[in-house]
Amino acid sequence: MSDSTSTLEAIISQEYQHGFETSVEADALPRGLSEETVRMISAKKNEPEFLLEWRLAAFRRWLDMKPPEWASVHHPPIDYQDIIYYSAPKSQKDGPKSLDEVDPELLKTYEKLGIPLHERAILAGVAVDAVFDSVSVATTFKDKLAEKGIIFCSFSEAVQEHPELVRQYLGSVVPVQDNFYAALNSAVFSDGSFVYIPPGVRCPMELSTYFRINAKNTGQFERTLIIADRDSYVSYLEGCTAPMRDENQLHAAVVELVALENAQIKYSTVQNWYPGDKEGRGGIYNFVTKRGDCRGAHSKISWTQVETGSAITWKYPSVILRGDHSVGEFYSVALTNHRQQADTGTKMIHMGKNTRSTVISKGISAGYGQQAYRGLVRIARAAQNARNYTQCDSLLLGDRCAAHTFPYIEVKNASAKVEHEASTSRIGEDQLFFCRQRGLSMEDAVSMIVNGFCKEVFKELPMEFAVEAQKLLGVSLEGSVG
Amino acid sequence: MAIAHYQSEFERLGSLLPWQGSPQWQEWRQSGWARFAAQGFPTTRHEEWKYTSLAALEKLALSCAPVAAEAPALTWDSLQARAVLPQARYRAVFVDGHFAPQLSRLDGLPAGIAVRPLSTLSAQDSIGLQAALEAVRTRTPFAALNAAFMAEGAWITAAAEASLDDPLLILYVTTRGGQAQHVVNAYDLERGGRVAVAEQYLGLSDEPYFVNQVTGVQLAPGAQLHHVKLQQEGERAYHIGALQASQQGGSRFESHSFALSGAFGRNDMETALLEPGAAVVMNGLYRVAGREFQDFHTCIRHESPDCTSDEYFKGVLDGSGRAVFNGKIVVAQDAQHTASRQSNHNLLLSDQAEVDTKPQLEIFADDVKCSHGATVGQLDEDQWFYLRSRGLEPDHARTLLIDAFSLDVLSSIGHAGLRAAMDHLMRGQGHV
Repeated sequence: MSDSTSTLEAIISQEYQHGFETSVEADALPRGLSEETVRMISAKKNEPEFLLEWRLAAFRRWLDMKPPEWASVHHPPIDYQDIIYYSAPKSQKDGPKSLDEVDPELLKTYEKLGIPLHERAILAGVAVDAVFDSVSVATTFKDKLAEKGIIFCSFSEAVQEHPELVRQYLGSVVPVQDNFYAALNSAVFSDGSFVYIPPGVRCPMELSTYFRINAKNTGQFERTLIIADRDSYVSYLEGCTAPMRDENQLHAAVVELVALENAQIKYSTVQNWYPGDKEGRGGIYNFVTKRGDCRGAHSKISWTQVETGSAITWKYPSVILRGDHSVGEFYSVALTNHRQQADTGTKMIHMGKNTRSTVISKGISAGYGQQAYRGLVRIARAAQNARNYTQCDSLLLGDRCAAHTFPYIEVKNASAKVEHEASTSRIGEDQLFFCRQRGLSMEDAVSMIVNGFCKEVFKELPMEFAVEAQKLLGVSLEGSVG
Repeated sequence: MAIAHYQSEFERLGSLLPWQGSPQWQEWRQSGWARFAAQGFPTTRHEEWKYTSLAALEKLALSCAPVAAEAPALTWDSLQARAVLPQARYRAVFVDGHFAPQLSRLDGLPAGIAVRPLSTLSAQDSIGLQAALEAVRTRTPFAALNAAFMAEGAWITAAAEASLDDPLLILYVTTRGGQAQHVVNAYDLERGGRVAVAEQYLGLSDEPYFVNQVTGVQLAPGAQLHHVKLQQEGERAYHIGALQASQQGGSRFESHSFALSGAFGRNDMETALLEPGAAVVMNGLYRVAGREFQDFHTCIRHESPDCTSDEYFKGVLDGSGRAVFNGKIVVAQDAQHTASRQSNHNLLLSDQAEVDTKPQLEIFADDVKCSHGATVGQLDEDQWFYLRSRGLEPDHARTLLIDAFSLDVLSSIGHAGLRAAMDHLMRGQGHV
C-alpha cells in the first residue's frame, strides 16, 4: 500500500493548474454593503422599480439574519463590509455585438482554460452564455434558440426584456428570507443566466454557462433562473474555474429551477474553483443555494454535480416535489483535498402523490480534506406512495482526512418507501491487488478504482462534461482515466 | 416554570436525599443541579432535541420526594406474570423508586458478584459509585437533573473473572402518578467479569409520572455485560434514560433496548471503545401506537484501532405514534481497522404515524469499514397477499407480518437465557 500511498500523494499534491489572473479594467463599486449599495447596483443595471423593492426587502431581512453555524465547516468570520459588491469589466460598456467585439484579453482567459469559446460553440453545438465576473460578455447561438422561442440570456437582459417572467418567477423557489446567503444574494446579485423554455419545446442543444471569478475581492452573486414550461425539456451545464489568489473570496449564488407540467430540467455542474494552497490559504468560499420546484404533475428535475474546487463548499441542491408523479434526482461527486472542506448534500421534499427521488452521493476525501454529506428526505402527510432511494458512499485517501454523513429522514405517510444506505471505506487492498496482478500500474489501478467509484454519477453527466469532470476530479493520472 | 419547580423541589428535599454527611455527594448534587439549571429543558431548537418536544413534561409539577408515604401492597406473585424473567433466581425490585426487600431476592449470588441497592449503602461505601457515574452525569440535561436528585438504584459489581450467568432481574415498578423518580444503575465489571441482566421498567399507573434514569457501565479488559432494557411504562408516563459505557481492551457490551409502551420515551446511549478488541452490540426495538412517542439517540465512539460495533434498531409505528432515531458513529483519528455497521428499519402502519431517522457517520480515519442504512416502509403487499390467499384472517396476517419484522431483533441477543425470556414476553404479548 505504501506504493499507492505515495502515488496518491503525488496526485493529490498537484498545484492548481488554472491559476492566473487576467488584468481587465473593472468598473467597481467601493467596498461595503448598505442600502445605498443595493440602490446603486440596481441603478447601474437600470432595473425596474419592482426589482429594486425586492432587493431592498431582501437586504432588510438579511440585516436581521445570522450566518448559519450548523455546517461542519470552519472559517474565520467574513467581513461583509470588506467586499466589493459590483464589478463589471470596463470594456463591456458599449456592449459587444459579436464574439469579435469581445475583449481579446477575456477570450484568451477562456483559451488558457482550454475552452475556446467559438470553437467550443461551433464544434460542440453548445450555446455559451459566459459570465466573466458579473456581466455577461458573450452569447452565442441565440438566433437558433430564438427560432424555437427559447429565451437564453443574461439575467440583466431578461430583466429589461422579459420583466413579467422575472417578476412572476424570481424568488418563487428560493424566497428572499430562505437563508442568510440567499438573502444576501437577493439584495446584491449582479447578473446570471435566465432561461425560459416555452410549452412543448425540447431545447435542441445543451445550454452552458462558464462562471469565472476574476477581479480581486469581488464577491460573486450570481442569480440563475430556469423555467421549463409545460411539456418542455432543457439540459443546462454550468462549469467553473477561477484564477489563483491569496485572499478568500465569497461566492453566494442562487439557482432557481421551475418545472411545470411534464417538463424536465437537467442541471449539471462542474465546479473547480481555486481551493486554496496546500496549507489552506486562499481559496473560494462557495455558499450556494440551489433549488428546483417540480410544480407540475409528471415533471422532473435532475441535479448532477462534480465538486472538486473551492476552499469551502456549502451547497444543497434540492428538489421540491410538489406535482403528482414528479421526480427528483441528485447525483454528486465531491472531492476534498489538502485543507478543503465540503458540506454538501440535497433535500428532497415530497409533497405530491407518487413522487420519486433518487440520491447518489460520492465523496472522496484526501489529505486533510473534510467532507460531510448532509441530506434531508421529507415525506409529507399527503405524499401517497412516495419513494426515495439514497446512497452515499465515501472514499478516504489518507489518514488525516474525514468523512461525515448526516442524513435526515422524516416520514409522515405510511405508504412511503424510503431507503438510505451509506458506506465509508478506503481503496480496497484486494481491488488494488486484483488490478496489479493483471499488470496494471499502481497509478492506473488507483485511477480505475476511483473512477469506478464515481461511475454512477459520471454517467449522468452530458457527454461534453463527462471527460472534463474526470479530469477535474484531480485524481486523473496522465489522462489514463476513462 | 419547570426550572422553578425543580428548584423548589431541590431546596425542599435537600436534607432528605441520602448521604447528606458526605461533602463529595453534596458537591455532586450541587454541580448536577447547577448544570441542569444552566441548560434548562432543551427545546426543539437544540439539534439533539429537534424532533422531541418536552413542553408537556415541563408543565407537570411532579414530586421528586424519595420518601414513600405508604408501602403499596404488592406481592411478588402479583408481579411475576408481568416480569420479563418470572423465574429469575436473583432479582432486585424497586417500587415507586424504593428498594422493596420483601419482593427481591439477592441471596446466594455467585462469588465476586455484588448487587447493592443504593439505599443500603453507607455514605462511605457509596463513594465508589461516583466513578461509574462520572461520565454519564454530564451526558444530557436530565442526567444532570438525576445527579441532583438520585436516591435509589442498583450497583452491580463483578470481581475479576467472576460470572453471573443466571440473568439478574432489576425491576422498577411505578404504582402511582405524580412522581418523578431519579434512579441509577451502575455496572462495574473487573477484568474478565461477566454479568447478564434485564432492567425492566413497569408502569402500573395510568396517571402521569416521570422516570428519569441513568446507567453507567465500566468494562475492564475482557469483561462482558449482557444488558436488556425493557420499557413498559404507563400510558401517560414519561421515561428518559441516559446510558454511558466505557470499554477497555477485549471487552464486550451487548445492549438490547425495547421501548414497548409509555406516552413519551427518550434514550441517550453512548459507548466509548477505548482499547483494541473492544466490541459493542447496540440493538433495539421501539413500538408506538395511539399518541405515543419514542426517541433513541445513540452514539458509538471508536476511540481506538481494531474495535467493532454493530447497531440494529427497528421501529413499528401505528396510530398517531411518532418515533425518532438518531444513531451516530464517530471514528477517531487513527482508530484504524474499525468495523462498524448500523441499520435502522421502520414499519409505518398508519398514515398518522411519523418517523424521523438520522443515521450519522463521523469518520476521521481512513482504514475503516463503516456502513449504515435506514429504511422506512410498510407491510409488503406480496407477503400480505400470500397469507390472505392461504386463508389467514386480516388480523392474523397482519400480526404475523409485524412479528416477523420486529422479532428478528431478538435473535441477536447473545445470551440464551435473556433471549428466551424476551422471546416469551414478546410473543405472549402479541403485536402492537
